[in-house]
Amino acid sequence: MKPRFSFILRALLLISGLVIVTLLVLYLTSFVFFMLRSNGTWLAPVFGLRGLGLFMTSLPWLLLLVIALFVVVLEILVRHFSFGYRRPLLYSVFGILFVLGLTGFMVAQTPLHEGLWERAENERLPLAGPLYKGLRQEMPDDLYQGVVLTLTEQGFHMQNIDEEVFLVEINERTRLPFGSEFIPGDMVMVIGELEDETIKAFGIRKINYSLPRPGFGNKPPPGILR
Amino acid sequence: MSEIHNPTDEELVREVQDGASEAFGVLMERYEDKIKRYARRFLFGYDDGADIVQEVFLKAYINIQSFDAERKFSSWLYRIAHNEFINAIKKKGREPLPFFDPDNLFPHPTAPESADTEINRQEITELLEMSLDKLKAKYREVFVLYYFEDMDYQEIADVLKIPVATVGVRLKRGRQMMRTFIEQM
Repeated sequence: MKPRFSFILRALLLISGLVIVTLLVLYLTSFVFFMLRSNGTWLAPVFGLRGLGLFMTSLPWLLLLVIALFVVVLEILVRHFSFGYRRPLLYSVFGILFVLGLTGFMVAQTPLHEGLWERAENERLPLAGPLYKGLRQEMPDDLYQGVVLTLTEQGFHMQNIDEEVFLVEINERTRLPFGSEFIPGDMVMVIGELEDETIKAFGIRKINYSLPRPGFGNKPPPGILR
Repeated sequence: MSEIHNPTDEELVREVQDGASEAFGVLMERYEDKIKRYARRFLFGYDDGADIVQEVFLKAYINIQSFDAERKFSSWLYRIAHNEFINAIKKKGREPLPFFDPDNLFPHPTAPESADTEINRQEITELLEMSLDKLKAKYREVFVLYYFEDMDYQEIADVLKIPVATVGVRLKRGRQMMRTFIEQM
């Protein structure tokens, strides 16, 4: 007869595995939400099909694949328990995805990732550091963020985080889903093609200061301070 | 006059877990015939059925400390038997056993527990005796547990670790298959 402690140990290992995988996948999911929020990608679909295309191509697919693999592991672990195997696989997978999506979204709203990001920028985050440092490089092509400096006849001048100044050109085809009234100091997201120092805007929308974005954090953008 | 207390399976397991190994003999007496019957109906044409049943009880004894006495002992024992029988089928390689069953994937809302009348149930049981060997293992097992071992959907789901609705679907499909076999006879 096998001693009881060996079964207790197995049960503890199973539960520990479940907790570790859950926390890990929750962290990664919230990081994806945070990433999409910080680089502005999740606002892109408001610009129609082109914005949606940009959103899809900007998704961190490798990270999503890793999350999917963790969900499979989680599902295998959950099926050891009666609440897992008594229901169809599809129910438990959707249940996991729903809980994961909701809690991941909620965690992304907390200061957790912003704090870790700051630590990474200050070289004080050894393991996950590269993940956060990569955020700046993950800015999708054709998507720009910055502060309105001055208004011009064609549009406005915008300064980005690297203090580069671009002319944002607005034409009759530019999509302005949330209005066209921009004033100096507004933080904006622009979708468009960059030629020399001019962005031919396909779509522009104002964004909230409180949203974290690469380098800006929650502090007022540098353009405002000048 | 004092009544003789007949301990439940779970009480006996607790005794075994506390060191009274002889209580396992009582459990064996209670379940030996049932598990043999289950093996006979599930493992068609396997000469070593008796050995496999012995293996089931040996495994149950070795792992008795893992049993949660708050749960049902019979479901736990049948679960061990199910695993041993499936392993035996895999070893002999006579029947294909799919790694993944799509029935477990989707919900089956149209498969509630059917209320067979006694006559209907008896008829099906008799027909089953004749055609059980023609059914695939995954249907055969559910049939044996439902019609011969008198388990409900929930218990079968716990033994086979499949969704409750899948039990209903397998029974329904199995009945349709049986009907086809009988028509062909």
